[in-house]
Amino acid sequence: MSVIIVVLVGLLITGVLTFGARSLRAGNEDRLLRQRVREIGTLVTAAIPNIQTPLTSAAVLAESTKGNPKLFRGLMDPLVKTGRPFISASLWSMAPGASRPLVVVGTPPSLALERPGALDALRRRVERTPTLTINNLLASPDRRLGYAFAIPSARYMVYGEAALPRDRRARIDKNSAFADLGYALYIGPKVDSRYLLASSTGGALLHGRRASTIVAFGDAKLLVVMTPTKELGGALLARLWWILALTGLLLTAGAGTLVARLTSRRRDAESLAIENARLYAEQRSVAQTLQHSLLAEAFPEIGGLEFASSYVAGVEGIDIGGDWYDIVRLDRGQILLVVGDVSGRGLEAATMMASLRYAARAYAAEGHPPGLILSKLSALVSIARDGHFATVLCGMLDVATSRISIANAGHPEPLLVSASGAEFVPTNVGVPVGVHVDLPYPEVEFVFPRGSTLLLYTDGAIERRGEDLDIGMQRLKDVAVAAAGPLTDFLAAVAHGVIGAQSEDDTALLGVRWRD
Amino acid sequence: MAGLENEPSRPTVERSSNGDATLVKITGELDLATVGGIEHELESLLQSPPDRVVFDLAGVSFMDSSGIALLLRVAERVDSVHVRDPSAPVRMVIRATGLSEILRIES
Repeated sequence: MSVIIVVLVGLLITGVLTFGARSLRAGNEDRLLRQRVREIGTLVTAAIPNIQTPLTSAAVLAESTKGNPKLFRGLMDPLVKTGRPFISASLWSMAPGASRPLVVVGTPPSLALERPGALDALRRRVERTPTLTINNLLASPDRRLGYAFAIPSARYMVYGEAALPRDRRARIDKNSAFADLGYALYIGPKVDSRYLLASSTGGALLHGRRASTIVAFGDAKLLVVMTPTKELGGALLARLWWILALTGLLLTAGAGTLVARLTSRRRDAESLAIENARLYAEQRSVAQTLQHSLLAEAFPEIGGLEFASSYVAGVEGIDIGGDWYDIVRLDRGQILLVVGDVSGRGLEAATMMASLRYAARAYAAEGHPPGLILSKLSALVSIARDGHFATVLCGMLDVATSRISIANAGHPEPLLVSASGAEFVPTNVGVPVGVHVDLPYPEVEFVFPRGSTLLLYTDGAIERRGEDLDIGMQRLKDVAVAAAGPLTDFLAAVAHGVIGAQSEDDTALLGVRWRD
Repeated sequence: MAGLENEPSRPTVERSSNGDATLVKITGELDLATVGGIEHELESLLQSPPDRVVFDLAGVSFMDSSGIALLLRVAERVDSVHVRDPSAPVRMVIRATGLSEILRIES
């Protein structure tokens, strides 16, 4: 189904774009973080001289002044007073075994509590290290970091100690450039809580995106690990992926709905076409039923006579045709027989048929003979105005005399079937009704004997495309002669015999017979 | 459902003038299905009708009541309508419907 394909494609594109946006953001965050960490590294490196320079100066001063305490104190006091960068500064002898400081400024150094072995070890390191020697005292209750320095072959060693935050937390000022970063500082090359100097989390490990840099710090290394606490790259890039995802889903949903609607519209159109075909067929049968009902009035009860009729619509179209037949009982023992055929098909033809049918009954009721009835009918309609004409056969049967008086307006002549065969009744064929020539319709009279059947019909019974009229007329004769049985059976047999499967014209048949 | 078993062969209409008469030659089937088209072709003829119209219906293979109605409609507008050399089907239908005096057949 095309809807599924459209939705799948839409989801695929959305997924690709969303994934792309997320990758883009991740890459951007990494890049920005590393950049910030490098900045931090630079800052940290720039801060080291704050510690190193005073110690170097003090060491040089001590050597040249033979460890003058006053001068030492004077130099170190300002550095210790605020606790930054040191809480303690002391002067030591480089001689092995010296276990006590010569001068102390600020709080007593934790170094003084160390065993002599540890002190000697420190002195040896200081000898070897051209820069600061870092003394890790994180394990001590105070959490201190010691810095030792001596110039080569010196007699004196300068030592400072800094206090690290007891809670191991050092908050970054909110307004600083690094307020959106979490950090952890380690003395040592690895992430190890034993070497944690301070962090923004107070010791808890940093999670998520991290970047780190290592800064040389004296003879040790400082490890700076940082993590972003906010979007470094800004809110848009952070949100882009789900904006794309949402937009993509909406568009996919929209496209899917559109395709579904178009598909269902097309299906509606198809089912509408099928429905139309069905309705057409239904309408045709309705039209035929209607036509049947128009004509299938009960025949009048006339003693001594029986009637039967048949109406078969042509195969084409749904339009009602213009064929009709009628039997009217009149006064003075007379019976009117009418059969007519309006040209063409459709509403106009059906309308004219109805007019002619009921006008004929009215004129007959007024007592007019068949010929005059036809003349009056002809005055009622016109080919010029109505576009149609009608062939009509009008017969008046006198029950007492068995004589029929017939007038004919262009209609096929009736067939008289008897034991001796079937013959067409000769009539004066006048012009069809509606063709105004004011010519009369002369009547002919013939006897309708007992034991015979009179068949009135419309031209559908004798006319076939591509065939001579004579052949159709002969066929009617043959079929009528062969048909036997009660009148209704006779009529059905005739209908069956003359109406071709492809007959386009309607055929009306009316049979009249004396009862036995 | 029966479809159109016989496609109505499209009739052709030729018009020409011969003195005071207009000659209309029709070939093919002249019935319910084709009458509309033929009438359309004869529209101008019916708008300004001549005095005489001669229908050449030698080539008409089939004519039903609708075809007759067309001829009659033309006959209403002009003074005289003749049918020249009608084919057998046409001749029979004209005679059977009593129109021999109105649609005069000339050979």
